[in-house]
Amino acid sequence: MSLSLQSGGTSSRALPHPSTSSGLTAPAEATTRPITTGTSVLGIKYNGGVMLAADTLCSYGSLAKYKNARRLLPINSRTLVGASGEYSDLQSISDLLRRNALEDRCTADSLYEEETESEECAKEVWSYLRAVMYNRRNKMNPLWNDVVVAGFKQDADGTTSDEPFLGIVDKIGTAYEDDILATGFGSYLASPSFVKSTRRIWRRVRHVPCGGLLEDSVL
Amino acid sequence: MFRNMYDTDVTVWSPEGRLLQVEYAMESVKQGSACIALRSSTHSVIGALKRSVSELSAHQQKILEIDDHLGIGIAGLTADARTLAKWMRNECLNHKYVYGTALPSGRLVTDLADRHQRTTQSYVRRPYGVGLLVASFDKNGPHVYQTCPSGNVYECYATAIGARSQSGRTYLEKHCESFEECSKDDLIMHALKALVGCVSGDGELTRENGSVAIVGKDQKFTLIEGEELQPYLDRLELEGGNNGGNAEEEEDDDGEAEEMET
Repeated sequence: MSLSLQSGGTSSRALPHPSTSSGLTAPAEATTRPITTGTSVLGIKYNGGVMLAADTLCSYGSLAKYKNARRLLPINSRTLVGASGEYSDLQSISDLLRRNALEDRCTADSLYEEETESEECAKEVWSYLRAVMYNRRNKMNPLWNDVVVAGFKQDADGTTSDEPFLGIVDKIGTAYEDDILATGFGSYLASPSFVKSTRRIWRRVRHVPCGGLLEDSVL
Repeated sequence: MFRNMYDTDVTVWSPEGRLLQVEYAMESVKQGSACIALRSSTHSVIGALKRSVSELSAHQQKILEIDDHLGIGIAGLTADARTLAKWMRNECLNHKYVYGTALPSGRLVTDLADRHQRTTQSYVRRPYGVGLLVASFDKNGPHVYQTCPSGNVYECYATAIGARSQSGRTYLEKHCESFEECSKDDLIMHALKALVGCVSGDGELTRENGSVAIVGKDQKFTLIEGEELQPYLDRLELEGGNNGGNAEEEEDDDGEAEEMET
């Protein structure tokens, strides 16, 4: 099993080695276009945390093919990930991150059990994804997603703080943090009105109104 | 002695179930000059006695910074220590690049132990002849670890390795209850006092041969040597004398003079 950046962070080889092919296998290909796609993911910080919203549709071109697809996924108890773009790549990313989280749980960070906080925090997941996406881009075989990572920040000494964290990584490895984020069309249609109304006061927005705001935007 | 029949290769067990080559490697650690480490609830400190080959040469560096949150004190083969330090620095940097945060020391130390173990199970390699004291401050708080050529890693509240380190350990055991709540400076003083007992003969702890490093909450790994060490050495004079080994000429400080271990 390889989690190294070398192999793009996954154990399955996206590009079969030409020298080992039997001659009957198809030539190696890289992702050039997305096939099964999800649309926008919206994320905003509020008083008490961070909230993500997304619809449950995966389209096959213009066909509304999968109507109950989950695009928001918990990674560990501290992190939430949502993505638009190619759905199979999202599943691949989700597998990778969950595998990492499992390894984290199995690897003692300390030799003694009293130590806790061995889970990756949201910022570490975001930074890791940036490294993976950028690495894939450099091999001209990107994971065709815009990924939103949500969770809580870590204090300097590593304990989870109350400060919410919201970051985005795109298919070419650009990583960016903000209080309000959206991928795809959401960044054109929903973000601007969010930003106008809540950017400076997000700390005062409570849980229920925040949910309402997002629901309206998704619809 | 019969030992000799089973000590040529690291891959050979002795009849008592020991790997003699590994044990010989641990002897090498005992030949190095003393190194102390201890921690409070907020900081970890390393103290070391630097040796110089001759009057004309500089004193050998014993404390190496690995990252902002982690450093090591070494005893034994310096060259082996530098190889390990290079690897540790690389690991820390890689982690920072990928995850954006400091590498948890527990993880680094476990991987370090695995590296040591590999050398004890190979025909073509030899164990690292150096013991490390790893002091760190990360998301799980301050830590002190001790590594051996055997691949064992011990986490400690305080420990000492190297030549004449038993006197250091005795001092640390005596005072270990008080370390938890110590201030930064008091912790450094404890390290120096433990170190004094490890100086040979009638030598002294000076700013040439003494070396201290501290890391902790809001404190990056910082080496204190030379001029910067002098205030602590002055305080050491006041508080109990600065003689290695022999307990003569102690400055009595209203009965608070520390007993120097021989």
